[in-house]
Amino acid sequence: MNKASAARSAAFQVARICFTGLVLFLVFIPLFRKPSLYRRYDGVLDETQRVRLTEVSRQSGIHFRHEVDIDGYLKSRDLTRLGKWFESISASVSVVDINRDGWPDIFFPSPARGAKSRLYVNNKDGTFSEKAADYNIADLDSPTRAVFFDCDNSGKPAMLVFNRSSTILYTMDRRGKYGIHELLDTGVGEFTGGVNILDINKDGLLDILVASSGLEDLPDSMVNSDGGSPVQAFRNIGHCRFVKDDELLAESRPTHTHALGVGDLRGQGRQDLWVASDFGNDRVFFDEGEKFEDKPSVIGRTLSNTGMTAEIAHLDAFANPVVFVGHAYQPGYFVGGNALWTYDHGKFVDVARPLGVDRCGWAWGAKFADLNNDGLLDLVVANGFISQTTGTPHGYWFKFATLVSGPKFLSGRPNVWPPFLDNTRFTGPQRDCVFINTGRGFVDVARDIGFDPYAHEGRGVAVIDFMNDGRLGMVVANQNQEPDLYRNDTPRRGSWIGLRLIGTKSNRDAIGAAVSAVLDDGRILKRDNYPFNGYAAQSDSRIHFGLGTHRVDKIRIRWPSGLEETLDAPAPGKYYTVVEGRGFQDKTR
Amino acid sequence: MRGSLSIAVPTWKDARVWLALVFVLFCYRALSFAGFGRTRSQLLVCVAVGGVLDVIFNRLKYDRWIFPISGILASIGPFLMVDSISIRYYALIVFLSIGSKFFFRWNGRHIFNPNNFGILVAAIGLSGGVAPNPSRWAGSFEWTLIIFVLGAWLSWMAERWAASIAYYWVFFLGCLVRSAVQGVSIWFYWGTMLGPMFQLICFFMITDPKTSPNNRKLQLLFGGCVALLDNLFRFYELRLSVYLALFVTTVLYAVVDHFTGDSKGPDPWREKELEFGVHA
Repeated sequence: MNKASAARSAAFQVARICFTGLVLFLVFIPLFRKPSLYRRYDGVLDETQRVRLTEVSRQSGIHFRHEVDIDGYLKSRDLTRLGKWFESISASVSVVDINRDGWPDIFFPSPARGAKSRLYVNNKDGTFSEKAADYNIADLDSPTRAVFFDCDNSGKPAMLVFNRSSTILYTMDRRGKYGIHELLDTGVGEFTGGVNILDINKDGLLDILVASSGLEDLPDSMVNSDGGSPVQAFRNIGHCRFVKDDELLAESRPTHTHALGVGDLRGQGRQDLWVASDFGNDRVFFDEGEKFEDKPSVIGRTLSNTGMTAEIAHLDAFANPVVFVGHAYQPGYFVGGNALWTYDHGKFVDVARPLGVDRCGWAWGAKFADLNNDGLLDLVVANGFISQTTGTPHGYWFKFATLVSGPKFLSGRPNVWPPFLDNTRFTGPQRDCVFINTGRGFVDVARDIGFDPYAHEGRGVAVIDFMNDGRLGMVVANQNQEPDLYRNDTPRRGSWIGLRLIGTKSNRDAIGAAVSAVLDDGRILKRDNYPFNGYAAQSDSRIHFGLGTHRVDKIRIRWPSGLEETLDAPAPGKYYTVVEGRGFQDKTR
Repeated sequence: MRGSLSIAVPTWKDARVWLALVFVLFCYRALSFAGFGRTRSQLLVCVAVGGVLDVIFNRLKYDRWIFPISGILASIGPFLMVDSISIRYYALIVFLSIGSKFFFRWNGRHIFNPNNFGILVAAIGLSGGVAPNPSRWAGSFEWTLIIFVLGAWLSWMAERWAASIAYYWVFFLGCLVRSAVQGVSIWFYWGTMLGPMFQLICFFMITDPKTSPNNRKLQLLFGGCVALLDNLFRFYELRLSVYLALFVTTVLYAVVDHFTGDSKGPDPWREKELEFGVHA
């Protein structure tokens, strides 16, 4: 054997040993480290970044339990065997200042037959009083989702309610009672409608976008299902009357849509539309003035095809807003995880992994909010899907993965699906996530701060400052469970300022307004007023800026009408009312 | 100084050449259909890693230069069959696949199906970021038929059709039993058989001439054993059932081969040496 071949042989033997070691290491990893649904964070946050969120729903007087009763509905559609699945998608919440007293109230629709929906009116002391009957909205017909908006610029919020067979607009009369105003021809039965409200044509009247997850069309593919509904647009023609506009979204094809996010995704002052789709790829529609154009090719490749939420916000690190899309993450089955899309050089790229928000179990609703008032937006994500633990639970992941490996003509048929029995669970209990923005990325601190201690099955997440103290709380609608109301008890460190916008030429709710705060160090914080983004939740519509140790010099507002205003900022630490064209009014609080 | 360089390249009679052409079609599907979630860079990394490693390991072990068609083919499997959150994981799976060919050998042949080994080990160790995902083919029955027809042809070309047939039929019967025992529609189980991934495994994976029997009766036993174990593991809802089944069966076959010498025979690959003059 010459020297060269001896060296080759030695190198080969070394490689063999290394290779064997690697294989053994990989095979035995699961014995020592179970794959986690979350991205572990073992570091210590800076004092200014820490948050304390206390669950106070009961002590605040909220005694609501979400209940579903859709047995008859499912029987009529031959879906009884899968009833548990369908009974697991309908918890939602709306934050609305229903009495316009400057204090946010909370509405929980109750889909069960005969169960009462609840409206919790803010007592201005951290507690709420239930007053749904006073507003005539306790006994709605199995509502799954409600959104409140001012459709005639009267100052009184109308209420758009989805149930399993219809979409109804209620308006408030002079006595403050709601009554049916109009039935919208959405043509979809729905459990939680993907819905967003915006002034599409900038005429000062708020329009409606609706889409359906259409789950009664069983998904026939995990990545390219044919079911669901297209996005539909309803134009406001005045006096809260709406007409369907089939031209606006003519290119919209059916998708299982859980959420519609609206934002200026390209930084061009437009209202682009992100459609979070389950069982398929998300879609993005660019606002091209006269119509929305479907642009599937601008979304980068992704392994995540279970879009649940579309939450949009400005993060400092990116020129354009980011779109957070929650997805099901399950080691061994679906590993793509959540997506955080940002538009960069003509393409949406996913930055969820490098920023650390890609994992949060089976993610549903999500909201960005500056929880610690440090000037950086944090992110709260609700999760979990069918957490049955009584009896001997049987998992559904394997069955579901088996089902979607087959051809469409079989997996779309209800009698082929393996049954969801009472003791069948999908994910088991999962803890929601609180991602704190450190400026370099996000870290999940939910475990450390005791967030979601009972691992409820979270769906809609809404931001609410119900103490009006500038420390943003959260309300999470949980499926078949009680909701969680989180009071923000973070020690007061950072400064803040809040704005309630009132449009004059624009829609009165100023939906679509873009607000910037110019800080004393030149940094610019940006917020857009789209409180309906996210999933199955309507958030506090006031604009909130955490300022950290900084002072805000100027406030710039681009109103939906196109009017741009630059205002000298008043003293921080308060909510202020800003009227379009008239600047700051009296202190709101 | 002047010398010559000899490189082993496959001829047109080599089944791997045709397999490569078929894989081009599959890769086109993976790259052109957004639901597949694959990128060109992932494919390039897989092919590059597979090809380079095959060349290096051949040089180290056999002191010869080859055109790495086996390495390239082995790199396509993970690209088509596995979801991975990182391009590095694809490289790792390909490394495991190619490495298993050279490092885990018995009686002069590699024991494990390279793709199966790489996917299985990575999916066990890195389950948070690596997962075989049959749903990528979007339940397309058209692609089931395409893969079935092309696979059946290649399986016949590689003289492994008996293994495929045995796998098909035993799996079919196993579905009947599972349906009866578990009380779920038979179409739920047969749906798996009508999906594209099943065809890939049946005709492209278990029929690897280097790790499956030459003898026809042994092929029937081999295919039947994979299907039997696959059904058993599926009954207990083991996540990587078919990969585990094939892994176990290839080990069993290695033992059988040790005593029967079944694998001793002409090389199934048809290669020729190309000579190049080189200046050094």
